[in-house]
Amino acid sequence: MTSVQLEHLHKQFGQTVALDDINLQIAAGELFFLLGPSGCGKTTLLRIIAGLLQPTSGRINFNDRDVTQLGTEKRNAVMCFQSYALWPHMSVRENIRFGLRVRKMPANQQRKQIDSVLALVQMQQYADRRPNELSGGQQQRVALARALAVKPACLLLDEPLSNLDAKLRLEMRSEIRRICKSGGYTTIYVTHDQKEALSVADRIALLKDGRLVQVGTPADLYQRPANSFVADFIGQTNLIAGMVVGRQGDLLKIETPAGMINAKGASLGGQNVVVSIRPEQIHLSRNGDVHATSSKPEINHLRGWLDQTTFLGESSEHVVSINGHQLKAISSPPMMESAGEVGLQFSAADVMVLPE
Amino acid sequence: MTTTMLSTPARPALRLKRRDGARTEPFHIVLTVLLYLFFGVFLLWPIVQIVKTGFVDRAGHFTLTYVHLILRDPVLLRGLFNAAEVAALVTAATLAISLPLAILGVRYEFPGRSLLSGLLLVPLILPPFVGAIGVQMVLGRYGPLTQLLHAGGAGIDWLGRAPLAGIVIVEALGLYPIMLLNLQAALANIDPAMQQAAANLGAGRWTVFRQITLPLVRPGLFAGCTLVLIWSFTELGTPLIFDFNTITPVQVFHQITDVASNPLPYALVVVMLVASALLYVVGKVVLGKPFDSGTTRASIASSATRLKGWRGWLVTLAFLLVFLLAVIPHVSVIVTSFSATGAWYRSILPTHWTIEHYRSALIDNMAMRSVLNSIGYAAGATVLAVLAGFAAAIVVVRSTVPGRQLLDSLSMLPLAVPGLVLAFGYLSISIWLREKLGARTPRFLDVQEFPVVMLILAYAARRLPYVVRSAVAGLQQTPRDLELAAANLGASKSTVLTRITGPLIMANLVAGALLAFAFAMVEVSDSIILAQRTDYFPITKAILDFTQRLGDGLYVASALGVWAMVLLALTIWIANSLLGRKLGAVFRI
Repeated sequence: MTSVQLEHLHKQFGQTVALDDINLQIAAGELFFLLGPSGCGKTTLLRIIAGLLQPTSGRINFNDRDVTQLGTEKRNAVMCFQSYALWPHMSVRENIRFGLRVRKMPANQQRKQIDSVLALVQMQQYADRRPNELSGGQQQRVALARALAVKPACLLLDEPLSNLDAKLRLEMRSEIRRICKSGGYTTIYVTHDQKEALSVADRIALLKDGRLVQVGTPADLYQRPANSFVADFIGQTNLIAGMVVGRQGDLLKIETPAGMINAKGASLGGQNVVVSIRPEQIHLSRNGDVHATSSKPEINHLRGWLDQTTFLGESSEHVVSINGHQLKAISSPPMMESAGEVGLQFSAADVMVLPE
Repeated sequence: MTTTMLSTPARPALRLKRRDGARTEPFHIVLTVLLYLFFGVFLLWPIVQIVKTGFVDRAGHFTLTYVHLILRDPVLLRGLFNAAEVAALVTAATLAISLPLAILGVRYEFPGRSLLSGLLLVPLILPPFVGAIGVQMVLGRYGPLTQLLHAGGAGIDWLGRAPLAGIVIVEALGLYPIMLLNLQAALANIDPAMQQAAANLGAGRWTVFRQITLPLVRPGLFAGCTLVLIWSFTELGTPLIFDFNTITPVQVFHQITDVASNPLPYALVVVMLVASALLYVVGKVVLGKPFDSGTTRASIASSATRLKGWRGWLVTLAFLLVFLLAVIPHVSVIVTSFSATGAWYRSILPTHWTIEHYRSALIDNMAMRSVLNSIGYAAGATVLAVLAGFAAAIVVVRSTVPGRQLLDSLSMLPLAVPGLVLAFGYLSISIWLREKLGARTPRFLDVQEFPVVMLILAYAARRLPYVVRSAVAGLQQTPRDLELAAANLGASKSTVLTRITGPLIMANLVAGALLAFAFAMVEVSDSIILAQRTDYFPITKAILDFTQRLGDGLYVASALGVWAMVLLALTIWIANSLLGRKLGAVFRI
């Protein structure tokens, strides 16, 4: 089991800064995600950890041993490529054997090891097929098996599910978590799919324009986003710019274009803030006795105009206009309403106050 | 630049998993029938005719007598061995030159990379045998090399000492671009992740090269080796210039005069054909198994590593050296063409310079006419090849007509069949027709009377593979939906063809056409065998004819060779400026 430390990593391609001062501590056996929009530098970072790219400056440690200058072939940080990179001139078995052979493992042990990783990814019956005779999902499993066979110090997955269809992607998510956790591998997983990250990761590092924006558990990122970019990128949210105008107990009073909103939490110092309200936290009601409960300051009440309702099966999504500002709300179970005036309720505890 | 048409035999064709919307229309069937007729008459019939003449005696019975005669004749046998030796050495030499260059060129960025990569293809604009004239001058007993080494006196008889070596050098320097193009294309097609994955799993550079890179370029290796091997095995022009007679192609050529009565040259040609076919099959078995292109296509843009400092310049130097070596024949042909008759003798450079030979070439009836003839023949052949090639591509890619795979293979056959064999086949058909029809033989079918039609057909058949590959690649890169969208909007089939499909693959067609044209211009085997009357000589035959003329013959031949080079360079330059970067894209299939 290997822990990975990245210290002040910096990477430049010509004039373009791809990575800027990356510092990360990844624990042994952790399933760690690098998440971010395309072009944020996450794949570059993965390739640097793999030794396929050299950082412009900075250090990479495996178990506190500096491996920055070590070639990819000596690092044992094994990568699953996005394209799988299965060698078409070799069978599944030969593909997996390759890494064992260059490690000079005795033949009988090789066979045992190949069989065990094939069993792990449930591909025993395809051992003698060529890669081009396999489906995308099967190729993905073989690529994973090839990497796992050599017992990597660190397993690197580059968008492993991006070439699969939606249903298979869901299946493979939990499958990958099962496999990585059962072997206790330190795994670094690159994706741009926040749902994938939220559902599989132990911890997530969110990158933007080559910089780390926030590192934390999925719940941290979802419930306590560091800024509006994180709130917006992780899950859906409504972002409204506002101004802190006062306090009432532990509540902040924030004036926004959608009306006065109360939020629980400490002041951020400055007056100008952005509030984030998750759509699923907003409850819609038609007319009803909105005013009856309005006395409680920890429940926010707004009135708006329901523009649009989209049926999603297990829930429904609504677009509500308040003073020309549009908010999204999700009702579960679905609520089918025609356009018209509605009331919106959400708890002050669910309003996240973020720096502007 | 003009690149990788020659590499296309390592084709991704027909290995598409999805054949989007391929379906058979009535006109597909018509095209298929016409194409089978075309291949049957102009490709298979000549081969059958040759085989028949070589194996059937006067009484019409099957016989092995002729083959037997060959195998018992020590001179003919020697010729076969020599041809095989030349072929093996030339292939090995081109491989030794091309493999390092291809790897360096694909992997690294160094000063002057694109210019030098283009320059390395220069030998393609001249058939090897014209270069042989130049090499003969350079390596002459009292030629410039001898002078450079200060070996006056008796001189050094380079070519007399090792006659095969001269042939091998000339052919290797003339043919390596074919190998280079194939290897480059194959290397560029490898997904860099394939090699990175191996290194990432712990493999060293050598292991990655041996176990991953080399197997993945096998199809390109096969294509390159086959083309060079068969070409050099049956190359006629170069040994003719060197006056080397104990080699099969020349032996066949010298028997051409009594061809009507003598089946021996046919049997010899059959032996060559069988040997070529065997080489092809063996190569295919050992190297050829292609991979599903779907899994080998690059997923990461392959970016060349920039070599810094002296390393970069070292690679530049290597490229430059090969280029300088490769253009020795060309340069010396140019020098010869400007040298006064007999003035390049016992001196490093000619002692007297003149433009007299160009004037001779211009006023000489045969020379000037041969240039015009070649342009005409090549143009005719190109039109024919483009029509047939486009039709074949449509059937192969867009239809489900049974037998389209066979059609695809047939269209590649001319690459595996020596030019000499086809040329002889046409000749033998013409003779056979005259025997059958006597005086009623239509003039255009009688090669001895009027070889134009046969020459155009032969050129077209020989150059067809380039056009077919090019058009197939174009069609495969053009989503069927674009055509269906037009049809869906109410366009007729012909409108779709002329307004949508045609323009979309125009770049491919033009590229294939220009290549076909360029190679038809410098075609040797058909030209030498089929054109027997001075009036109809193409440029290559005229050059060969001049070299046999005493006095200023060699010099006028060189001047004519320079004309050919200029013409070809011009064609390629026009193609390049017409299509710009698109041309390069076309060749990177």
